[in-house]
Amino acid sequence: MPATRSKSLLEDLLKIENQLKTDASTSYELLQQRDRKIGIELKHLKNNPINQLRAWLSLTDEAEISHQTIGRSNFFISSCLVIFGLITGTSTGLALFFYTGQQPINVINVLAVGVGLQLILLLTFFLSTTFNSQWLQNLLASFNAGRWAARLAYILPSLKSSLDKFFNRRHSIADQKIVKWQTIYWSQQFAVAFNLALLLSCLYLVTFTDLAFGWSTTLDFDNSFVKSITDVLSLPWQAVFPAAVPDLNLIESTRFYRFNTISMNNENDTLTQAQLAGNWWRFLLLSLLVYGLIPRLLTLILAKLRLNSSIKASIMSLPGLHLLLDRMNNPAVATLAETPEVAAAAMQTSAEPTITALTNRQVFLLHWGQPAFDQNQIEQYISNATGAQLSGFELIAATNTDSIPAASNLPVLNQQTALAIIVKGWEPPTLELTDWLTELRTHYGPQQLIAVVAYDTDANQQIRTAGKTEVDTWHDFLKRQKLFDIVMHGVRE
Amino acid sequence: MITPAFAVVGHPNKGKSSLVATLAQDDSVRISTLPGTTVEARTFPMKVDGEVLYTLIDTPGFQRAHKTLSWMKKHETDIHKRADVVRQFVETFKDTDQFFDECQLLSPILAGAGILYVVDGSKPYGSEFEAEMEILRWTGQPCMALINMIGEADYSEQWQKALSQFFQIVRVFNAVNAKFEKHIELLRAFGQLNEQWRQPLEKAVNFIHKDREDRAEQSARLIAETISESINLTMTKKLSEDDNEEKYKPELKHDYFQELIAKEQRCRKTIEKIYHYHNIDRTEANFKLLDDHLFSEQTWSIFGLSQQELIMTGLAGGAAMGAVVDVAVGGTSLLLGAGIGALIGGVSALISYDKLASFDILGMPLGGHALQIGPMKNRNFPYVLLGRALFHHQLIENRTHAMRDGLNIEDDEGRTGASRISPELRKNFETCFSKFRKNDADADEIETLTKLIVECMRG
Repeated sequence: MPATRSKSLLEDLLKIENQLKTDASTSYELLQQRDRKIGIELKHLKNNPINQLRAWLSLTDEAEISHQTIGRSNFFISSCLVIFGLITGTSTGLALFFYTGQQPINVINVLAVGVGLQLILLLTFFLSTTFNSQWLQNLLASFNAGRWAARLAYILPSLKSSLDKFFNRRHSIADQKIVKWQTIYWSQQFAVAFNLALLLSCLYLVTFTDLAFGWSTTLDFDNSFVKSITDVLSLPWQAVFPAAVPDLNLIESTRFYRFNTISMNNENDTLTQAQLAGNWWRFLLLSLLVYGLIPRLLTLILAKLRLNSSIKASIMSLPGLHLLLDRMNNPAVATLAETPEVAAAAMQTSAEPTITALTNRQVFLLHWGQPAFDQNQIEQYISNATGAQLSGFELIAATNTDSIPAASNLPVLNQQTALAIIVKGWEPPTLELTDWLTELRTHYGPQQLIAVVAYDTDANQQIRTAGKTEVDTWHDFLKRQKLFDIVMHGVRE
Repeated sequence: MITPAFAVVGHPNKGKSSLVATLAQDDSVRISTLPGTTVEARTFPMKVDGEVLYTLIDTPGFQRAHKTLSWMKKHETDIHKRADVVRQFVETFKDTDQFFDECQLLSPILAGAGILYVVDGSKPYGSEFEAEMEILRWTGQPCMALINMIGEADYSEQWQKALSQFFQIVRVFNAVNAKFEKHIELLRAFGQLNEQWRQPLEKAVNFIHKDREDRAEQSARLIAETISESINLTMTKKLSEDDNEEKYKPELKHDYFQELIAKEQRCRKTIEKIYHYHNIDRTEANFKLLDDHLFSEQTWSIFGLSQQELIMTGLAGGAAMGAVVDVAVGGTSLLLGAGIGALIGGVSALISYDKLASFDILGMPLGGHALQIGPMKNRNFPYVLLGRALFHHQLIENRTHAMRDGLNIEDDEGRTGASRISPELRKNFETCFSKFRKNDADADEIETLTKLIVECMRG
């Protein structure tokens, strides 16, 4: 069952990471085969490695590795933050726009929360995204709503392990950025929910109740100062919505003091003042929208983009990732055998070759193949090496035109004369020799001493004793061919 | 396009399997001093994305050449029908044990494979081989003789004279020790046997070349990733309020060093896999050298930089980084940036020469505290890792899949590790490493380090 590509980039990061870890213990040839096959299928994504990798993930034949828990944790945290944001936003809205009819809603309070506080929080957002000082990051993180929610999720055992894995991933710089941008993203979800709820509750109250706004402060602000502030705040919309820019008359007439409400001398005045007191709503709604909700939507988008780019960077930094891309996108060159090799029989070196069998015996020499040295040199060597007295020398199978002589054509030997088959130690025995040795044994009978004597050549092209490996090889050969009564005469080094 | 095939044939134990192992880059091929190790013919197709460009066939050696030739001579009717006689021979004996090996080796030739006849040039020529050569000549297939130099003595001249009478091309090729370029030359030479084989072989050679470059680059990237991860490696132990951090330090330190060692070993294993090595004999002297503990004194003295080299590298690296400031201010700093940078680099190198990773207490993302070890402070550490990795890569890249002994890969002055890297290149490495140390490196830095390592590998 192929693993399905999830909608979450973060989940895919963890899945790819896990798949690469699994692959580390798989044979390179198998991986090359699998990935190249997928790579050809995904050729069109070659220049978009992230998409290619996510598609690769969905096509790998490995068992599905579940990383949905991080998705669940993410969903839980986001939901908590959005719900909390909506509740606090609504509560704040209801509190700010609370109107009993006794005293107008103080515009200053609304601006302090809806604009002033938002600007301060935006400043902290700017600081946390711009400066990487550990001290500053730690300080700002302690105010981060995302971090609080993550700590809340940590309490749940079902989410704890996935969050642990997530927060403790520190392979690359990108990984640290993921944690940073993920917590920022969560906090922006809260902020958007808060501002949206605040704006909606304001809109609701303005629409369905008759609110009166005024402004009041203990500080020594004159009307023109307040006018200049409202003008500055209205700059973004003054050209589009001039009606939402408070004029001096509105500011003057809606100021109230602790001991006085707005003065209303007659019925006409009352009506006019009531209308004026309601005129602030456009300005306030747009302030909440422009300085509260819109910036938060933008920071939410920015956080999401930065989070995704960190995840992508983290994917590209995964150990073994580039090997995977190479396997997918480079032609798979294979040169190995398609089938396993059939094992040869193991060597048997059960008995030691004898070195005394030919000493002081009359020996007839039969040289198998073309001699590597002239006859005299070989005879001299055999005589010295075996202590035998040589009685004859004959070549067997020395050229391609020679047919191997039948044993019956070989000289008749008396009981005292041994037969020595001289072989070139470096030339391994063949079945042809086996046939011939078997024939010899049959012809001469079991009483005839038959020995195999091997010689070698050194780096200076001089005759020498065969080495241990060669002697062992020949000895093993005789045993394997069940020519047990043919003696291997060897002098080991 | 025709797909050429080549049957590697010869007397037993002349290095046929070594040749195939080297050319097919397959270390699973059994190679032994014992005759008869290859029991059956085995094919090694060279495939690119599934398309076979050529096939090598390893065969058992001739066992009854004289008898085979005698049979063929008895059944010969006309000289131009000799190939038919060979075919008749295989047909007659293919299901018997009598000429099993001859049938195994002749069958692919009769199916159209070119002949690569392998002999041992370090042993004297013997005319008894002529039976084998004659049989091959009877097949009428294009043939090349390869004189494989297994031992120390050199009889290649003798062989050359004899073989040239039977074969179109005779070449000397050391199957075990041949460098990669020699493999390529040999593959190209196969193309000389038949005009139609030239194109697929040339195509194969190009892919093999490219594949070789890719493998070196993949290895370099792995080494770069390992160095980066190792420098930045940290390990943490979460502490509760009343925990005494001293209690956890020895265990954490042990785990930290073990993880660094494990990282290095994983990197090596993957590089071996990339080059298709699965059965490396770890008892070879050079591999034993690498088996020495990563943090042993011997390892650091062989593969790392000496204190003097490290200070010089620190000076050069610091100066290079300081010079960036000088350039940024348009030279108005009167090279003060380079001077201060060099001083800082040199002093840091001196101070950190014996310093490994240290412990820290740090805050966790979700609150609480943890004991942390790492990242690695020692300036020599990345050079030790690099030196060992380059040494290992050189061992792997320069060996053949037929090789069963070690290699000598010291340079002319007997140096093996990071000391072989030129001072100029070392300066660039230092710039990279200092970014890793500052945890200021991203995927681009890994890319830069990869390129530097490739440069080292090439030269």
